[in-house]
Amino acid sequence: MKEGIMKRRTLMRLLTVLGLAFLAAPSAWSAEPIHIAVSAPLTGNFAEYGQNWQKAINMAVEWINAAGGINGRPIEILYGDSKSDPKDSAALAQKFTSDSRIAAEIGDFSSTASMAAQPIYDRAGMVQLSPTTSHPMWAPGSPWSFGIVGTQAGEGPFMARYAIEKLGKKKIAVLHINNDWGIASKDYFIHAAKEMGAQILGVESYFETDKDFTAVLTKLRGLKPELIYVPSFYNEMALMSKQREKLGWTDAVVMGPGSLYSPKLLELGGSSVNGLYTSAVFFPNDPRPEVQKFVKGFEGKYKATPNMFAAVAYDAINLMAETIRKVGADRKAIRDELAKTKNFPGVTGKINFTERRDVIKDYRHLVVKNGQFTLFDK
Amino acid sequence: MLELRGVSTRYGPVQVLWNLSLTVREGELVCLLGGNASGKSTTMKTILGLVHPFRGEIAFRGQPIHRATPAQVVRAGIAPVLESRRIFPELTVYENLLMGAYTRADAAGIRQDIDRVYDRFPLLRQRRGQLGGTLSGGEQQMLAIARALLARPRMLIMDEPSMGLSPLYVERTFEIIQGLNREGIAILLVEQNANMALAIADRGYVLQTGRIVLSDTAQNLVNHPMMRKAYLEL
Amino acid sequence: MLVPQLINGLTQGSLYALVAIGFVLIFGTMNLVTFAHGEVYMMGAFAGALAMTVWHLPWFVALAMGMAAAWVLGFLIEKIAFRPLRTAGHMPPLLITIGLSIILKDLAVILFGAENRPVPSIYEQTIRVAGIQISVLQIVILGVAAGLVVLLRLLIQGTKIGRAMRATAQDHEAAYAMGVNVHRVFSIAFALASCLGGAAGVMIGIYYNAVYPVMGAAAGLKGFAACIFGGLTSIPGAILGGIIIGVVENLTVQFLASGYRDVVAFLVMVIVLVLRPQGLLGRKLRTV
Repeated sequence: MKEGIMKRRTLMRLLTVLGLAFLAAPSAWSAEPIHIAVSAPLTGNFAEYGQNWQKAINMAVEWINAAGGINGRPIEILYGDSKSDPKDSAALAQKFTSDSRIAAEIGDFSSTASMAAQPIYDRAGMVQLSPTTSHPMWAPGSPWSFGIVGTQAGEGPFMARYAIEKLGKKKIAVLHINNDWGIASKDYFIHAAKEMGAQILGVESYFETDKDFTAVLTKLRGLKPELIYVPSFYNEMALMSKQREKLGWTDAVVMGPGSLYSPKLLELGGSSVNGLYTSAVFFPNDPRPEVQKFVKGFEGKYKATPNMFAAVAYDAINLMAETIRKVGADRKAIRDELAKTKNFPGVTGKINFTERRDVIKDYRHLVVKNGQFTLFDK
Repeated sequence: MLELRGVSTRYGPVQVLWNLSLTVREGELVCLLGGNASGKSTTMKTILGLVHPFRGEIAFRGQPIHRATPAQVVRAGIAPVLESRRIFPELTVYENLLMGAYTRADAAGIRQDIDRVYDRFPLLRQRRGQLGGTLSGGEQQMLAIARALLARPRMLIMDEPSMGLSPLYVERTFEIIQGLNREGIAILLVEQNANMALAIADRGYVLQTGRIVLSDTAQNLVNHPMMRKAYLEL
Repeated sequence: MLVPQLINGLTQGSLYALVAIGFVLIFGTMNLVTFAHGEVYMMGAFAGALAMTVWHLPWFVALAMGMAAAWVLGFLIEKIAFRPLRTAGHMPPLLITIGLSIILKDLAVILFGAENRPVPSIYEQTIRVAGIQISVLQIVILGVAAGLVVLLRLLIQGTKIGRAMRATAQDHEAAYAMGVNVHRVFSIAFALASCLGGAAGVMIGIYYNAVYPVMGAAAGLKGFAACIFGGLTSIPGAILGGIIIGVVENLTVQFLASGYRDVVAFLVMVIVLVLRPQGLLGRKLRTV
């Protein structure tokens, strides 16, 4: 009975592959494409981040294929929509790892979704390279997991130093998004801040779907902090800032990690995000040629300046392509070569994996002035 | 004045009225008698346009109304006094009366007519600000009749006006019906209380399982053996 | 911080109330529930946001446009989902509105994109009353909500169509027999309910500075809860229910944690329904 189903499934898969091959036939390529899977939130609450990835990855693949592909073989991306939901990312992992065409996977977006899929990639022996997962416990969790965005273990202390040593703010309240990333982000920041002698007046959290922050802001305001540290994404930060402005709460400084760094923050937040402190690993104005090539290309194709999420996804696909170029499309060989990466020139900085297969990023101090991100220099 | 010819009505697959023919002449008081589930209420709903017959014709003053909406039927001059009064419990007495005049647009005329029914039923004037649901059964019956009069009808169709009333109010109600009829309003009285109905009616029809089984003058019906057996000596 | 939280709660609650009144109007007249109400609210919010961002119209014009768009949408939904199935019982229209809500959500994603669409700020100033800082926008929102409730009351209590709506709600067959075009009353009640939902959507968009396709789900749920809370068929009950849910939510954030806001709000609702199954201002079901 079970065997029958298996057989039927195998047959179905075979037919599907044949069908796809048939559909793909009228391309100019004589060689088999190299398949790379992407697990990303293309719909749902995080859809726009996933769509940022998709834009960057599609553009990178277009360029690689236009330049002859990888040793004559084109790259083909197989997208899976995880909604950044751990259930879906795990199901996609099953699907991808059982598809023998796929050489490696890029994704997922949130730490929660990536970590749910991790054991499946680990068991199957397939690289899971996440552009954005920054939970410090993620990459060490499996020899097949890689993270290129840096972790809060590096970013948290950096931001704490920024707040306490650079800005001299010692009375701090924290408002974080209630998911694995937000909790880790908050923990590393608080740990470092306390060591530097800061006083944490209160810690509050919100959910991914929240849009109303008036209540929680009103509560934090009562604690009279000098600085609020907000590990969140730019969407919520923009709403939060506007609502904070409307509540008339202007005597506290707002700071958050590099996830806030996006032109969208300025567009959505308007004047309310002036004076906001953050950091960045990616700068569209960076004069390095690889950055300018990416920014110009992205702007030309999508009429928008790329944000950090697009940039890390762009680095992820290029790093993957480069690795495959060296060792071919073998799953194990890709992992071993990836771990040896030295000074890969990403648009988000040089990529060198630590033993834990994550990256120590070089952050920049930023502050929003007159509706623009500017370098903080004091 | 009102003429039903071969009317058949059904609810979904269930046929309730079978080839029903019935006439009410100008100024006449006709009663439609029958027991439970005989089709009396359906006959009334069919005339009022609440349901439409699938066969047969209904004409009022020469105009076909079997495809008309209730609003058109009311405008043509037929006003309903529905079974168990059906007062709007949370409208005031005054608002209930206005609902009776819903199809009219002559504000001055409506005001005048409301005054007139207040004169006829002084109790309603006293209670005009009270919610309909707070009136007693008998008072509600007065209101239901008054509400129907607000349509300035040429004909009233009354469904079991005596139901659930104290004997005193039953008598009172029948007096009012008789009075209205004397003022020239034709009345089709749908009743289970055959004794009372035949006492004031000119003619009567007897309905059984959706078919007219008897029709005659009130006098003859009272003396009809079948009537005596089935309805009058209960 | 208690008074500011009460004001936050009142503001939010007044908008829940507008959504809840919509459910009351629809349930009260037609005895039916719509699951697309949240999406009507969302579409109204988008219409208002577009009016402000694309055509740069003042907020009250945007409000009117959002209400008009929601009115039209409500009118169409009633025509599509309810009118043809008037006699089909409760389930088919319910299922259709669930389908419509999904379609409207996806339509919004296609038309406007999945992302938050920013809504410009208005009335960013605050005023001080007895030492407490109050946002002018919150006062404006409360004013709009209160104004709409007053207008609704005038319409329902003082006009012929309002009287017909009440009569239809109480006994639709009797109203029909009196010559009321009950189909039109249903249409108008549905459109009116949608229109209030659209107004709430526009105001919430302005309040939070963002509109987005999935915004209707939470609002629909909260509004529906407020409507049940208040007794399903009572407009004052819906208003009270909305405000209580809004205030409880905000006090929960103050005294417990942000994460518990919905839990506590719905818990209070469950407790009320256990103690008073007919809701706060609902009547006990009459045994017939």
